[in-house]
Amino acid sequence: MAGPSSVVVPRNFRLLEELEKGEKGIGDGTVSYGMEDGDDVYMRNWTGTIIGPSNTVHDGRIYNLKLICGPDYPEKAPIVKFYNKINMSCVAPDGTIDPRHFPSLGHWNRSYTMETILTELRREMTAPHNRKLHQPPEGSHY
Amino acid sequence: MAGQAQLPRRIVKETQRLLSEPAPGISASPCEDNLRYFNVIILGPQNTPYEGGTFKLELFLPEDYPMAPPKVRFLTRIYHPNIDKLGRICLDILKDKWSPALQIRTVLLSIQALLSAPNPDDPLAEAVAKHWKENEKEAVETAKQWTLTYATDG
Amino acid sequence: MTHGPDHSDGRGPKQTTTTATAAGIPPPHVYQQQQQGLPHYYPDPAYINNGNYGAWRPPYPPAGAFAPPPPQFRPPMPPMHPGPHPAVHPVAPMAPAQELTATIRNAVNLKKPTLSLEPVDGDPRRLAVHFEFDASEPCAVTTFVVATEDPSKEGGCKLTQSKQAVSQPVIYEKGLGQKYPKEGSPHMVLDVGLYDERQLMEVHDKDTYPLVIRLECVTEQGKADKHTLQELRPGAPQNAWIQSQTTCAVLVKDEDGKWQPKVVKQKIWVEGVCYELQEIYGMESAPAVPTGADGSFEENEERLCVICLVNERDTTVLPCRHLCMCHDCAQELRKQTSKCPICRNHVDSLLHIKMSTRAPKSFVPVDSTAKATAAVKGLKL
Repeated sequence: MAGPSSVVVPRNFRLLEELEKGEKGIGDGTVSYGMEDGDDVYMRNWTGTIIGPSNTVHDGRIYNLKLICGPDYPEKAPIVKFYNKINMSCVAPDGTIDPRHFPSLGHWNRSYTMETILTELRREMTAPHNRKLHQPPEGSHY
Repeated sequence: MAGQAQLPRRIVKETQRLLSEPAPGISASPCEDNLRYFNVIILGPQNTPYEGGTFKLELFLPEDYPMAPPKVRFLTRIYHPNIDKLGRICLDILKDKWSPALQIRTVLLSIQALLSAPNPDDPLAEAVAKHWKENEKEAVETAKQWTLTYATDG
Repeated sequence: MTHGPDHSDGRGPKQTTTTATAAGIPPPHVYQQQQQGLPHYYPDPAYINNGNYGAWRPPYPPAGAFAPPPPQFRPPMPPMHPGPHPAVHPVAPMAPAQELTATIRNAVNLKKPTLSLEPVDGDPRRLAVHFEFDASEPCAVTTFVVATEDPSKEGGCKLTQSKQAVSQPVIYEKGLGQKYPKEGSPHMVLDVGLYDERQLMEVHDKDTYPLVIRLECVTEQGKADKHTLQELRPGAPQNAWIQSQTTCAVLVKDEDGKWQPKVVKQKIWVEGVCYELQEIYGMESAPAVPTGADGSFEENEERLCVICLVNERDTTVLPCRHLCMCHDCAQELRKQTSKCPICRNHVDSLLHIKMSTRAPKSFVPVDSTAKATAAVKGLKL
């Protein structure tokens, strides 16, 4: 976290930390992530999964996302895009998350992680303006 | 850059010594914008399948260094039973056998030694280790090929 | 650091670096005894001759798994062997890192490397005991062969010699590099034929040593109370007015079949408490001398804390006795790990040695054993 500490963990080691955490599994398993290509030494492309929260229209659905961590990560937020079609206020028509409508990306800081993004996206699904939105048919992709 | 003022004396001293008296076949220099982050080059030791290769690594001194070990990783791909596809290294002194009496230099020398002495019985890269155990000659040949492909200019 | 007599013995500027590990830093099972403030000898042989001392585990996986690394891979660890010429300065053990070390000025010290056995008139079965010692006070020297020390708490380290006639204490004036035997005085000759070889080569029943040399002097308080060296009887239980050093040795046969002594233990008796002298590894006795034109100190890495590389080493890890850290880093280390940075052996406690560049002005009495033990106990990890 960006506490008083002045020690800056460089991108690659930060991503290795995230990778290890992702491999161990996060919390109750409702969000998860891993590397898309295990051979990529620069760890650019990641895959995230969100299990739709219950008591919402997303209940029972599994969403896959792509996260792209550029060379400036974690100074700059990753690009995040849904593979599965979803109707949500912060998701652009091509599936990309619009940072202007999603604070975890719009007000990104280096203490945020891919886990933060996925957890916040899942929370966003439960928001009053999202939980009842009509959804595309299950299984459709961008 | 934040952090430079508070860089512990130990790190300053280690850095100075790494620069002024580099160990044979090893170079390590800190990044300008993060003095805890080092670009490292280890030359493949002689009489190993890595001979002739120039291997890039990155090394980071975490906040609790030297109580905690440095983090080190190969950036150049290498075919070695104790180094995985992401360049992560299986070496006891980087884990439970770390001692704060060790230094960056010692760590890099140990990694260089690991290139001379692969240990397929304590593998990180399972497939490579299996290859090594079942057909060492062929595995060494693959390692040479990888050195040529990934660790040699031109 | 409290130094003993400063001198040159031809081997180097200073002598063996030692610290007294009191009766006081024992494994937990003897704490009870200690808290009663009673002297107790160190029972754990690991403290006496643990082959791990100075051993540095190279930063490689076990030798079985890896080929031996090329010589240049030796990690640049500071040397951790007992230096060939450190200083004499027994240090009371009880200075857990939180407190200052109580220091003991060692008034008498037998120079271990000088101890030898010389055949009398060329007879290899009759061996005269020879050694040199330093004494900053007049002292009495008594030599015993195959003698048993009273292990009881009340025994005052009483020594009993079974076979040969007991040799009377030989009185010396103060002085450095004095020699035993003293010309014109009776001295101990070991009659090899009287003993089974094994009796000479081993410590028997923990308390019987083939060769024991005791150097005794009278404390300041003892002098004030009009005690004299002439009162001493060989091997008698020691009183609080005596300060002494006792050196215990076994015999080894060299390749030519010649017997040589090998010191296995040194103890000091002070204020009615017995301490075992322990070597400290990594102590460089050479003082920091200004070398730069501006009087700056040339940094000698061997003197610096292995953790911060900034402060001087002043804290020894026990039981392995690696003097390798400064006080602050030692405290930090204890929060993180229980392993010695040098040998990775378990850290039982830390001994903070108060370094002083000046010679001691006076005898600094040791804290009561009970208090010291409590402090050490508080340090347990």
